[in-house]
Amino acid sequence: MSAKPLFFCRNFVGRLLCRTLALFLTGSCTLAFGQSSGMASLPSVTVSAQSNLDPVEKSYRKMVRGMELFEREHRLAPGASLQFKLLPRLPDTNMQEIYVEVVGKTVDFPVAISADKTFSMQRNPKALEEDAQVVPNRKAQSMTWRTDIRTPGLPLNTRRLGDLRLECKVGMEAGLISNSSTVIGQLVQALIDGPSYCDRPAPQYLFFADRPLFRVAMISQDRKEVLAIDKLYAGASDDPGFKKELPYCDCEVLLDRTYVLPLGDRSWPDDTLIEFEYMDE
Amino acid sequence: MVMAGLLMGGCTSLPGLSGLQQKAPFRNDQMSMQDATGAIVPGSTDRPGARAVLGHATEIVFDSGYEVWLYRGRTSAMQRDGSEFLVLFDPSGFVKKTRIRPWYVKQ
Repeated sequence: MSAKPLFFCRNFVGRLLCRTLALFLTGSCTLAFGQSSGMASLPSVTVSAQSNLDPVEKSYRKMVRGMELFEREHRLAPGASLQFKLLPRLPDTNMQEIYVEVVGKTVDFPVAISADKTFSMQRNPKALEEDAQVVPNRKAQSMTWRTDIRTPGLPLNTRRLGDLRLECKVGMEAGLISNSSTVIGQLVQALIDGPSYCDRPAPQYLFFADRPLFRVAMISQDRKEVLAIDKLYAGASDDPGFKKELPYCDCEVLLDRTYVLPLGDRSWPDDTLIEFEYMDE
Repeated sequence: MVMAGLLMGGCTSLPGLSGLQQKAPFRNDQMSMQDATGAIVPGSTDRPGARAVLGHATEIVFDSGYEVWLYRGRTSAMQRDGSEFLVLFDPSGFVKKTRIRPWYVKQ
């Protein structure tokens, strides 16, 4: 193994990812051996996503729990509905013709994906009972998932803080975050705390703007504050080696659109507008 | 886009740390962030030109070809004061725009 994985394996999240790698390598070797030894063909085996700590598919149960949390905390974004969103994770990810299915032991049904790669989920008791998986037609690590909660009618190039607070909570509850960020310690806390992580003063929950960012400002009545640069680009301004760590971040191909917010700072009310200035304007 | 005039007028952007003076982050330590804004010309100043005028920066280079250069303000105690001067270069290598982030009083 190279030095980087050894270093990465020393911390909690790194050990989780290293175990995933070990499982993958072990599985690959077993399959290769079975194919070459001349043994009688074996029945196919479905590998449960639960044995893979970083699968491309997500747990249907967890996503439904996220939907339930959305209903409980809807007051954060009273005018918004809940969507989930698929985003590219690798440079060569093809985001066209994406199909998503919910697959259980006996139940399976398609999920309609909009042109902007958002989708909603419906409750299906059978799928819940069978602990179904939400499976896109893409290989592991090729996409990242987020929630998308938008109050309609906002000014152009803005988001609403309450919507984003709820996005974080639902995203954490639904188990959408599957990679480490450059701030390993923060992610460890995220794994432990779940949705309450979003109530911290400065959680490192990565949001992605629609286009590459140059400035993000928070505006609430007469109060306006521009975010410091270390709140953009996954903290790249403070990490000279950030490019080496990008493969471990689900922001790998979205770095210039990435920002974090002081979600737990209640001096900013839910109606605070997050205003974006883009690089290309 | 230069934000200095608008932001410095905001109620949370007043300097609240009396007795601490800001130290300019540029090669010329007499140059203020406002001076830097005037010295860097969008569409005309390129990377070598910016470096010659302002000095070395923290550079963030994106795969798109855009680059963000960061100059951080400091107090005389060599601590960051939160103010920033940023330069955006487009893929052609010329300055597209700049901006200033002032320091804010904690609420």
